[in-house]
Amino acid sequence: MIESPPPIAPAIRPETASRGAGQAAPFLLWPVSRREFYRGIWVALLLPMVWGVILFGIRPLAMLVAASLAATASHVLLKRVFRWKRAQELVYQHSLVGAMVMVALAQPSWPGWIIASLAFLLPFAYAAMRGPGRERVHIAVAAILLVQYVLLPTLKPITFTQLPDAILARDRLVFGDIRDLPPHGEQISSTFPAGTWPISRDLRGNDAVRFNRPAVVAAGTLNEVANALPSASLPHPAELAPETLKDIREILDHAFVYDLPSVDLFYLGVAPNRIGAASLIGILIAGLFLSYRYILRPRSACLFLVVFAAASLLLAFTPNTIQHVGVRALWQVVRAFPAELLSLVQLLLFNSDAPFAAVFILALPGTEPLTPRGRRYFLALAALLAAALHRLDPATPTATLSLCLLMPVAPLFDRFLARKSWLHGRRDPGRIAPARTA
Amino acid sequence: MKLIEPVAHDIREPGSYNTPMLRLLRTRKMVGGLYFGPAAWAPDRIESTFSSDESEMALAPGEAPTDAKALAKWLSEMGLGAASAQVPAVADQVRGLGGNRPRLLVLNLLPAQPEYVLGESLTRLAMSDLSSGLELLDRTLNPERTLVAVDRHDRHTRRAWKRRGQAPREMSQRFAVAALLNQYPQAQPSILLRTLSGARLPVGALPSLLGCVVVDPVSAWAMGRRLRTGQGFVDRPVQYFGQVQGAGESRLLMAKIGETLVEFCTRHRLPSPVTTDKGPRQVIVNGMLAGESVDGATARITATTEAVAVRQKLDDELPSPCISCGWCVDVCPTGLTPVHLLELSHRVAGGKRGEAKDKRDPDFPCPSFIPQRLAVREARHCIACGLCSYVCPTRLPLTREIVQLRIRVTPGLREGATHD
Repeated sequence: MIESPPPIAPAIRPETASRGAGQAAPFLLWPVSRREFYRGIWVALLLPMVWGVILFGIRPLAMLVAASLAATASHVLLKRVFRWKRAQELVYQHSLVGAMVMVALAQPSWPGWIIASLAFLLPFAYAAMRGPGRERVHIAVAAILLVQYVLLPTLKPITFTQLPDAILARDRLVFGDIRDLPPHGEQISSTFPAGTWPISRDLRGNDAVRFNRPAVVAAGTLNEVANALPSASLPHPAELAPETLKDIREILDHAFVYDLPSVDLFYLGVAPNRIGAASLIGILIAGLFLSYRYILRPRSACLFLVVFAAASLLLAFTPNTIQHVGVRALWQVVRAFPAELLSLVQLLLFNSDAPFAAVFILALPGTEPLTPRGRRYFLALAALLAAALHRLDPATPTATLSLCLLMPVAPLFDRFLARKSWLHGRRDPGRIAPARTA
Repeated sequence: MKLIEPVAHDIREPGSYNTPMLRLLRTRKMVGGLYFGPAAWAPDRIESTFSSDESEMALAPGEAPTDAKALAKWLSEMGLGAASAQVPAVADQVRGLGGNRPRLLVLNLLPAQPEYVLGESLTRLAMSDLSSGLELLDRTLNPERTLVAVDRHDRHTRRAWKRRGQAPREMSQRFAVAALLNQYPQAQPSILLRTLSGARLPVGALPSLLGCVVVDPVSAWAMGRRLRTGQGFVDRPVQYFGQVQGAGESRLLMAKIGETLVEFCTRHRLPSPVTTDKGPRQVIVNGMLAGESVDGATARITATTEAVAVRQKLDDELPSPCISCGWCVDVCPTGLTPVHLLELSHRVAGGKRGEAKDKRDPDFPCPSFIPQRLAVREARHCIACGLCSYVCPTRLPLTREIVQLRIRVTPGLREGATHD
């Protein structure tokens, strides 16, 4: 049933915009077009990428250059050489952003040729979908997940990627040669004279400093702490035994002294992470730039991060642990070691791809629902899912993954959560009592 | 007289502002909108080329009306209908009150379009006429509250009306200046009344439906001028924006109602609005965001012509598929989802009212599970401000299509459109 329209004032001519001699209003155009939109994102991506190159060395730089050139080449091939009709809607900046997102989400130790090959194929996929805006799932992000979970395990024997969480030693640009400083007293077998750089094959892929991701260590430490606690089903005194507290102290000390990086180096990004996700400062500046250009909604990014942080805090001890150990014992641990536990949660939080996803994945158009209300629920749900997955497997880019998983159903949030226009009042305006008579 | 600071009332503790009067004036923030900043030009005079015999005293000054009925008759005599593309005629609003006392009388000096300066200019150049017109309305309608809505950042206008309100007159007891943040389209009557009183005025409805009267500056000025000189509404100030060679700076010019644009330009020695050998020219009437493009050779100045812009015709940027950036939703002042309404407009393009014929353009895909009834209803809430089309990075014709949809789903409008 269609509602009856409100009375129309004689002076208002609603048909005005439909008639006219030619072009319809507006006659001014917002200076940001599709091209500027994607250009803003790749300009913002440059800063964390440069920082990633500085931290992780020449290999990410080669990966970045190769991927950009591959995307450019296939873009030109499709649009100018083959002149494929579907490819005419491609926007170069969009293809470039796709390639850069792939590099940003790659591990520094991954072989560059895989990423470059995928970057070459990317414009083909975009063209098949008739240009930017057609994809509801971000192809570049999906490709990276495919590489991590399908391609690399298959190609492991020929790519020397047994060390996914490593900082490359021989390629580092500014931190010098650290072949003589292996962790845990391991010796890297090098019989090469000074000044002669061996290749990975010569070293059997052993040219990197290996240490576990801080997030993995933090998650493992939290699990160890939970294991050290007595079961809630057993009778135990009101306070934890001194021996238990001593054990927990030892677990925490070992983790902080031997396994985890120092906090200053961690915040500088000198810890295993994705190339584009290592620099929190770079991501922050990029986020401010994108907000300034109206490309990123700061509220969305903040909401996602806040919910992710809160959920990480709540899930520091998993529901199974809480059920097994009991809230009381955990509360006593929290009271005894507040700073240490908070540091572990902090490492769990910042050694993830959540800041990267909150800035760059949310900046990609089409990620979120359109309406503000739909966005709030969508982001809260995505952040909860990301935090839960991250607690289970800190090595996975869970924030990106959860956003990509929920992205295809984003229109449903608009469908079920959209509010009506505020002009649609509860009361019929025609029934409003007239004012007092004069 | 009190200076109303709209947003501040909501920040203070509730008890301090929850009086009946301030409850009426409590502001509601716009859902979207865009802040364009103050206009970049300020005319120092209203240029007129009429000779003394042309601006004849068509009517004797006579006696000013004393009640609402006489006022409506007086306005009809002077030929004052709608003097703005957005604000309905004062006479219609007075009749719409049905003899009741209005709750609120608003002189709307906010720029109707971002580049407009009519309210500010008339305050500076013709304050006495403007003020006389408002006082006449205030006296005859006897509203509970009289407001002058001004741009918060337009200090000159704000101070001028503040000083005016301090004068010892009968009106000053219920007179206030509402200084609002001029986020476009704050001046649109539905948005303005929502901001000032919290009431919801359906798009296109008379403000008298809510017991309010909204007056545009030119109507108030014309009434004041008639009181002073007896002149009817035969000419009006028009803002001229020339973006072609020889046009000079933007100006405020007096135009005779009914004359052609060519005559208007010739009289003021402006470049021709007609396409010349130097390239096609485009004439835009009533603003760059919500106006319309007219044929410069045949178009005429009407009572609602507030602005004329002449520029070289630009190459249109072709629309491309939606990238779901959500900017149109963010800026929509009435909280619509324009891209869904665009899709619906395409779907109902050849069908009857309410029927969704799937005639969608493959270039404008959108999910097909949009609640159609909701969309049809919401199409009526579009005020055609043009912001969604303005910000769209893919240049989709959102405003045009939503207005078309509204015409298709609203019987009265559909008939009007076919006559047109």
